Amino acid sequence: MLQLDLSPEEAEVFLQEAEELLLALDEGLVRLEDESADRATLVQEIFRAAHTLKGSAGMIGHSQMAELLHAMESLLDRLRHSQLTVTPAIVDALLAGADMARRFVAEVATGQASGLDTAPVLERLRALAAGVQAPLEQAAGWELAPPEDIEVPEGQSLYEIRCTISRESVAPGARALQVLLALAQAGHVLSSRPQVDDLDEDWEGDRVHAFVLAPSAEALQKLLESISEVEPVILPAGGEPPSLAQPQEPSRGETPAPTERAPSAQPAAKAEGGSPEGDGGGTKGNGAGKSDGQVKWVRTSVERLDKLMNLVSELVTDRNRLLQVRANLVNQFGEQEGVMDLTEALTHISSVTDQLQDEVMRARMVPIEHVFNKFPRVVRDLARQLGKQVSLVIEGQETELDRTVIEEVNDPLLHLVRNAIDHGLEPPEERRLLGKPEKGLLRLAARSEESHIIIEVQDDGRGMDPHALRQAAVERGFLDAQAAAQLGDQEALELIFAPGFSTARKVSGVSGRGVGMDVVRTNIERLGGSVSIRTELGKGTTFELKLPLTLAIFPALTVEVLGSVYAIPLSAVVEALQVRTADIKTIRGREAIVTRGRVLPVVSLARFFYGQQPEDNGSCYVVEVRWGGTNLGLAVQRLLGRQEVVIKPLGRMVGEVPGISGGTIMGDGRVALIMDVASLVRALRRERQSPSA
Amino acid sequence: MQEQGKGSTREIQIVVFQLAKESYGIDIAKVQEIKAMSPITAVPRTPAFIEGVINLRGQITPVVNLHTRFGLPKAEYTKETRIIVVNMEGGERVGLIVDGVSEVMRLPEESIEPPSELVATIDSDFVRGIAKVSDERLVILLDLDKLLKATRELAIGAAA
Amino acid sequence: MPKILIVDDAQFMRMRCGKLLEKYGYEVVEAENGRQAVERYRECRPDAVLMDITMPEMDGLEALREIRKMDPAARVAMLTALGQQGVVIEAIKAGAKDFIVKPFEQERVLESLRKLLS
Repeated sequence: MLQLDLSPEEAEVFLQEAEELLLALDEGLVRLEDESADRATLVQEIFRAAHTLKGSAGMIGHSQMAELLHAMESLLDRLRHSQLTVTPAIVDALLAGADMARRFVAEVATGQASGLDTAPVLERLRALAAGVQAPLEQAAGWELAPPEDIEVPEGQSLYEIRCTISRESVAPGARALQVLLALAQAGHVLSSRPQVDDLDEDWEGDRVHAFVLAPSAEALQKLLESISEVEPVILPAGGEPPSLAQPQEPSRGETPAPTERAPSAQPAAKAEGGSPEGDGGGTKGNGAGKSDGQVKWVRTSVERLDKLMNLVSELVTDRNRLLQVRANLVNQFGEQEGVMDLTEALTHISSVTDQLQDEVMRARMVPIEHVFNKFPRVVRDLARQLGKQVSLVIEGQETELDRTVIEEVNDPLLHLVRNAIDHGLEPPEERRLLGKPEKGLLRLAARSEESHIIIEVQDDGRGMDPHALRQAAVERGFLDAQAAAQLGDQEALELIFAPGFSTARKVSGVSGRGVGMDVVRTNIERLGGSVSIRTELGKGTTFELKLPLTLAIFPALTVEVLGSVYAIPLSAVVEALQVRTADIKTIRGREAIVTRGRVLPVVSLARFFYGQQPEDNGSCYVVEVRWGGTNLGLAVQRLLGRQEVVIKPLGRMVGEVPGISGGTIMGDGRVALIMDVASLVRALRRERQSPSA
Repeated sequence: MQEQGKGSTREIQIVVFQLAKESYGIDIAKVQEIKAMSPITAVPRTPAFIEGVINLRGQITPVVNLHTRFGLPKAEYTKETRIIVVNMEGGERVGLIVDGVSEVMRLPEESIEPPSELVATIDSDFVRGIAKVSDERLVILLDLDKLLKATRELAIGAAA
Repeated sequence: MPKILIVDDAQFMRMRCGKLLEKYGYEVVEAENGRQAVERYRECRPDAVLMDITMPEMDGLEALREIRKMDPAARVAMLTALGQQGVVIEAIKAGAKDFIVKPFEQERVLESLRKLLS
């Protein structure tokens, strides 16, 4: 159990802030590597975030986290003062620190210590801060030129003094002064850098370099050793490897950093007041934090929103019910006064319910930024791991999705991104040879259409080859040669979504194109969405995810199949046609119709669901649906209408039924089944493959 | 198990229902409500004993036909036919179609005997015991949890 | 037994520091601001002074100067907090022999004193 000085109310605030700060760290650090970025500002922001989080960690008594952040802060401080330049190693170490800080924050959330060992990360950070890992040229940094043409008096010798001041010192200038005063006391200072006059409030150097005349090295040694936080090195001027006294001060075993410090006034520490965003995290808040004038926010819990949503769903159902009741009354009693009163009230309730539904749905909307903002970090890490260079472009961050959809979309996106970097994008050398820019493009874009959100994951890499996929299918025994040959190009591409299919030519520890793609599609389709592929060999691939705005309520087309009512989500419907049974042809063993100049395969739902043939009265209806690039016609007995349905689960006892995603309660109180076009299509495919269905 | 200590006799409280002329009992603690038949929406491609789903005050609830489930000859619905809505482990509800519900009864535990080979109408796995209510009347006590669990497993297995 | 003058406006600080020094065999005298420090120094002639910088009535820097005027050989170490580099530099220029950062580690204080007194 973690012992922290933190009450539950405080915890909430701490965690919220911490999350924002961690995000700022991640985002800032990833952007830092971009050479074109405004590094000075970035480092300042990152520093602020680490500093603020460190403060909070200290206040609640999480000393491990505070210590870690302090180490990060120190390293960032060096960057801030240009004592170090940004290198991938430094960014890596800081990111590792940020990751660990994140885990510490999780500890605060759960109250459980996770037994993390900070030692390795701390070591890295401190070593980097001390400049140990930077490529060292030992001589650099001590650039004071030896004095020329001096007369060395009898009994004295010329010495070169190199004193390193501990980076931990809070007043290095004072130490430097002590050194210079000591040197002046023991001998005669010919030249020094810094000079006494350079030393003031703002001096932040870390060394004293001087040439002195003194009777002996020992005299100098003794005096210099008595100064805390200073590691003196005395060289006889002439540059011979000296017999050096051992460093005594506990200055953490540093060697000089390569960049020489100019003791100029540093603006950094003073600039606290000017930044517009306050502390490093920026104002991300909920919603995109945009302020058109004053946007006021109220916090509410996810549970409350879910409850509201449920209540509104119930209301919608009952409203539909009332409408039905009213219709019956009108049938029965005509437009009598009583009925008209009801109609009036109902019309109003109906309108208010619609608006309520709208507002609650909006309240549950969250900008996709919350998902996208994790990706720069992910992409960076993956690119490094896989030896690719990736330029990430993100568009449409403000596009809003229902929060349940957002939660579900993260993993599939992650998968697609991994896939694009691993298999889509070529390594830099290959790209160069192809005349492509070495940095591959990865684009994450979101936009909203009338009733959908579209998310694109696009790369400008190799593209996908339907022919190669067909071949692979045959080689893997997935399909026989004939079936493979019959696959259209688009269908061939979609092989990657078939469970158990993979064309990864080598295992790279990251998913191969195909492995896990079936999970991606399943997850998206379970949300009522779809995934489709657009690709051009050699140019790149785009995966397009189509997602509903919300999960629970959607418009549907109601139809009748052998006396039972089914609701087909309108998002899948292309159109509905009345068709003469005679027009249904059998082409290559399957039923189809010709519509708008193309062949549309047709499935009888009566046959699929009930194994029965409906009575043939000369015509029926075919609802054309589209799913993941496939078009299919569903033959039904009647079209009933169009309405909004609230989807509800059928219950665990029923289990998963192919072709059905749930049920909805109709206006008459009965349950109608909601069709799941995706699983229908999959079930059909399975049946085709094993024809003994 | 609802048990009342009355001195040294422990009692159980059960709902008694009829199925193909036999009386069965289930623990009242698990019974949510008893309702008259309502329109059942059949769900295709499910095992035969899943009669379908009903609308239970806004919640879609699956309904099991116990005749079919126990392999008894199918019966017509009469005005006595009822749906007993029970709670499964995990909170979900299931409706059980029965020929009729006769009463709620208290039984002393001592009157319950372990199931014998003689009463083999249904799978004895689901029978907790037989209660001799009177000389002419036996009530077969069902282990509802086991029954539901097994039923569910069958349902999943069938869907695969 | 060397006599040490501890100057700090915080009683808690004086107490802690005092306890530590006494434990290691020093004799302790206290003052709570610069003015008192100068007086005490005149009275007791301690062997060394630990002087806080920020104090009411007379701050550490000024007291240091006064004491050094009185006794150019006075051995004074400043007690400083973060962000006082400028003052510390001035103090060293004015004759302070060393400085210790607050909150101080026992080791540092003892070491500093040892150096001061040697």
